[in-house]
Amino acid sequence: MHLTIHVDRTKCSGHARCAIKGPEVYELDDEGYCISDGKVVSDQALRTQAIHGMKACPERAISIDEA
Amino acid sequence: MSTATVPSHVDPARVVDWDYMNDPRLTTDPYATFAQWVAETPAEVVWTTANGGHWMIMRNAAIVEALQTPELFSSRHTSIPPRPGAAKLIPEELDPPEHTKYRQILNKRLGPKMMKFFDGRTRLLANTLIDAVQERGEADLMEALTVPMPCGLFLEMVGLPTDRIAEFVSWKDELFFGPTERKIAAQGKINGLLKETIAEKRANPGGEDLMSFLVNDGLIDEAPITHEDLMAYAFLFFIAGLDTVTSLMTSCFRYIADHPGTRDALLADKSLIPDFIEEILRRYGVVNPVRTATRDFEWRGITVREGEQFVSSTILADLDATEFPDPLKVDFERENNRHIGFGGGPHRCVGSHLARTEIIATIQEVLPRLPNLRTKPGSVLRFYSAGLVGLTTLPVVWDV
Repeated sequence: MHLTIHVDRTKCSGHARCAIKGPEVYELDDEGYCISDGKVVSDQALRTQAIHGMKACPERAISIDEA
Repeated sequence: MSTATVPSHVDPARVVDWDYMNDPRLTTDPYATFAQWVAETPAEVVWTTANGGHWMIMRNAAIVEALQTPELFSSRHTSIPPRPGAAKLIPEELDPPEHTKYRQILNKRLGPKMMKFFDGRTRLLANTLIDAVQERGEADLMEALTVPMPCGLFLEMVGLPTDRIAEFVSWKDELFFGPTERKIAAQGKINGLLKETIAEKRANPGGEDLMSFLVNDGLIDEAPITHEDLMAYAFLFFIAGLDTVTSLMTSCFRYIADHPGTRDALLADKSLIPDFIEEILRRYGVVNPVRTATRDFEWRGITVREGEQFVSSTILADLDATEFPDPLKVDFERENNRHIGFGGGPHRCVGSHLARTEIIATIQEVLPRLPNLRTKPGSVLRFYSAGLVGLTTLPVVWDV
């Protein structure tokens, strides 16, 4: 089972909460903006981090598809 | 209730008389006052007759949307009513795209990857400040720690010696709270010092501080930053990074001083401190952002006219039960605490990573040095509440 992460870059304003709650899933650029749009997470052990990182975004910029 | 300040296009069912700056309850408990307004609001967006009349947004989701929509909700005025005079605060009172170019350079230098510089300096400063009071067993923790700390960090940012903290604190107080002539005098002193600092950095490049970078290596539109803009940035660091951080840091220590269980838990496990700070920021927010309509528009069932002002309070947003169940309860394990204590949209607090770094490090350094920290018995705590909200004193005692 994969999770695909979608990040709306027009909404990302660099809070970096995703990376705090999901440090092994969400990567940030040098300004603290999320660069994980389109990332596929297959490792089941990282599932919780992926979901918590998504829910932590104050801008509601992250969504996740499951396949 | 004066009907003179209710425009004809405002639905009377949405009219209230709430005064977010002068309601007498605010000095005792601004958060309970806000939470009550949220709970009893007749609508998602209301018009208050207070302060000359303005809109108040009463739901978290609507506030987030407003902050994310600068095309409709401009930052051009940071107060209600607008400050007289044309000069804009840079970058707070700018909108994209002009805002973006001033913001980019700060994002890089104050981003999460740049925090090491500040972490070490915060710890040194925190210990120096506590050295001065530890043996007394009591202090106003604001005077001793939470006011001078961000002042010290400001001085670090602009590369000034931190032995000037006391002087800076007095200038800041005159600037924010003094009568007009003193405000102007303080402004002059601050500007004078900043001018000297900029000249010094030009003459002696190579400093590690942020101001040295901006003066010697910073580029906007591929050109060196003008003197005017350097002064604007320095002024921004000054006004945006002092009382805000003080307010949050004080709320953190107040909570610890009133809840020995929390104090002990944080001492036993420092990894709990970051989530603790996030929940304190949600529960005891700091800023009431203001926005101004760029044109006439319809939004969420209301008709807005150009120039009308909104309070899109992040304090209130974070006490909205539709987003945070049982909002007045402090719960460090609150799931998915996506508070907007640092704002949202393009003006998301650029100092948010620094504020977190500063407060985490300060709590980690200070807590073990003030055993059995508690609020001084008999203390009556009061708040100021306007554009910012915070305590005015925090008398504490500890074991020596």
